Amino acid sequence: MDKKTPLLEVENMKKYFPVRAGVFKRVVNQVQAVDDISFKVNYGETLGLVGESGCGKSTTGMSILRLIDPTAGRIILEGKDSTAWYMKGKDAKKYIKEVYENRFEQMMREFKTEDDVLKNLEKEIDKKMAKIYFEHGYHGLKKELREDLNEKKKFFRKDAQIIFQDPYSSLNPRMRIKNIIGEGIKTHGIAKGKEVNEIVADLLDKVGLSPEYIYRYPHQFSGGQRQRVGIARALALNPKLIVADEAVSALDVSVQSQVINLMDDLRKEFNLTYIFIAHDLAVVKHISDRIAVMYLGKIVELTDKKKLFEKPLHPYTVSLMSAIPVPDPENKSKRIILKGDVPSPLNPPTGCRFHTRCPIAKDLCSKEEPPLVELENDHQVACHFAGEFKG
Amino acid sequence: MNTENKNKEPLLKIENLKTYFRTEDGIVKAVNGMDFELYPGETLAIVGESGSGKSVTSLSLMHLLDENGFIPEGKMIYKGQDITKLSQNKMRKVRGNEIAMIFQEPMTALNPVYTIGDQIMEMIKLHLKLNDKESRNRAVDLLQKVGIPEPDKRIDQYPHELSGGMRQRAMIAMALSCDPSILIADEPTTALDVTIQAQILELMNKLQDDYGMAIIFITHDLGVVAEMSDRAIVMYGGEIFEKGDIVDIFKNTRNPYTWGLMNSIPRIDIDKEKLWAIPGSVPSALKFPKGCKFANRCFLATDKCLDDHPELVEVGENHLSRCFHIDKLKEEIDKVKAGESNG
Repeated sequence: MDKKTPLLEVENMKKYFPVRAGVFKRVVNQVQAVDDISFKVNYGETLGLVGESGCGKSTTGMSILRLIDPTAGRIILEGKDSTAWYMKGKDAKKYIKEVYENRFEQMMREFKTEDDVLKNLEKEIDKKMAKIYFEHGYHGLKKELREDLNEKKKFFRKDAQIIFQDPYSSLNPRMRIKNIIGEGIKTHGIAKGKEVNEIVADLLDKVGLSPEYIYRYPHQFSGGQRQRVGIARALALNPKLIVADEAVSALDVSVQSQVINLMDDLRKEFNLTYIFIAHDLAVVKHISDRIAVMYLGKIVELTDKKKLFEKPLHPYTVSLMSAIPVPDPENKSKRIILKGDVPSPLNPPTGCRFHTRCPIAKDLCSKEEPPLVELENDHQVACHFAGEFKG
Repeated sequence: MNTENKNKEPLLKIENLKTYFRTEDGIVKAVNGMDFELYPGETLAIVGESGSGKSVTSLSLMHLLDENGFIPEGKMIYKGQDITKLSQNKMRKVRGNEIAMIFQEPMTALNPVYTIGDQIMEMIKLHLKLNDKESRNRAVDLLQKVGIPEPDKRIDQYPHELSGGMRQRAMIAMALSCDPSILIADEPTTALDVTIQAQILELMNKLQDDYGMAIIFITHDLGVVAEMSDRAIVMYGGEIFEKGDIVDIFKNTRNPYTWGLMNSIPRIDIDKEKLWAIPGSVPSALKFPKGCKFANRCFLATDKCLDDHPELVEVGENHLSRCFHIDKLKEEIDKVKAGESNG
């Protein structure tokens, strides 16, 4: 695989949850949990998703893994469009027509020749799909996107894994550790019988637990040990991508640092790619290479760790950083206290979603939504007055 | 702070407090010899991980222990009066009125079937003997003071109609309703988002200036401790491991547990290649080592630590630490700093 292609690319993803009411359970409103976000995850990097409760960071993680289906958007895995894999036939047809066929047809009318269309397409994936379309038409596209689905879907159940927040509810209390960790190994036919136990014991050793524990039940472990079991389970299938959803938030300080260090070591050893979701900016800073700051369903700032902390451009990022108490009694810096609460994603504010709490909001902010644009090299920010607020 | 304190009478003095729980597996010594004084207007932080006994200390003080909990030894003296053996009836006059408490999870601490106004007014009527109208006015005033917008409308709302931050504000209003001289805050911001946490911390600082109450701040978050308190107590396994002025605790740490704790947190102001890790986890209450409770996880531990129990000794002015190897700690810290991490 060409390592320049990102492992994962999310384009304009949305996830709305319908709110139903009345006798007929009609949809009366929608919770806009994630609204039009785009980002890339490169091989071997750790992308941190950070934000307060309700900002959509967990929904993003679940949508990426297809534990829930996103409402709209395109998710590209290793250069392949995976969006249609989980769709029903009718929806898939609509998707192919909307995203590819209609667009290519329109471009043909504009640019006349197939070569010119190809030249004017920016993305590799679009070029590839256009070539297929020009050669084989709609059925070529359908074949490309919808054939061997069982094989393709394995990415999400084998190559991508998740570590959950609560180590108490994410392990089945009635299963032994060897089955919790070994289940995937058997399901995917990687090993059988005694071999499974060997692999599990090996994994336990890797995450710092004694291999003798394979016959134990989850209740025999402490919180930190359970989280290690959760990590071993995620590693069992040798995944490429691990989504860690608040993986260290429920742990005590001393145990949290052990687990963070462990995840860091495993990343190097197994060449993993992490999407690290957390509300704690200090934890995210420690573990991530790049960080996306989310607010009310939107990415407001996305850049590498160094740039984000040296020169945050979005007023929300600046305020968030200043709100974190620093464990240094001689350095009580002046806080920026944001007013009010995070608004409800049921009725998000018009224009910029942050304008109701923003210290530098102007008239424009309530009218026009700022797009996420690349202001500096690799530094994306969604604010009309980016960089103007220093705190 | 401390030089002033010496001339003042302590508001609260806790001497050798022990709180045990009877369980099926034996007696659990949740708090084992707690000593501290609280002076008017100061903020004392009690820091520790889960199972350190920090919350049990405050529940003992409030006489809110579960039925299997008891206090075999120790004294709690509030304004010169020993409240350790006070009957529930007499304690009721102190609790809420003199010593008030706010909890971590405002949703479970508030009663979901009463409006927040009813709950605040209940306290006011009980302790201050005001009539309906007066107590309602006082409740509206309080809600205004804690920064709840439109207090005359909010007072008739139920807890579920308020956001997490607003609920915590309502809890604070309730705690302040009788002008307590001590406010115990048990992890008041742990369940809140950082921007809301900043609001609540600012509010607590402001209210302390206005009302002059002393605050006992119980938390595991060292950032919050550094931000809020004048003095701190670090607890582990039901014992005080280090006690002192906040600057001493953070800048002149004299205990390996405190030091490990501080270095294991990721920080936004400092870049760390790797975090310090305290090995293992807090043992269950019955399984602590018999000597020093931290011996099995300590990087300085020797055989002596496993067998003998260290006493809390003075290591500086108003600065106490419980460790056999206080002198060795400094050398070791320098060594560790040079090598950066223990992996």
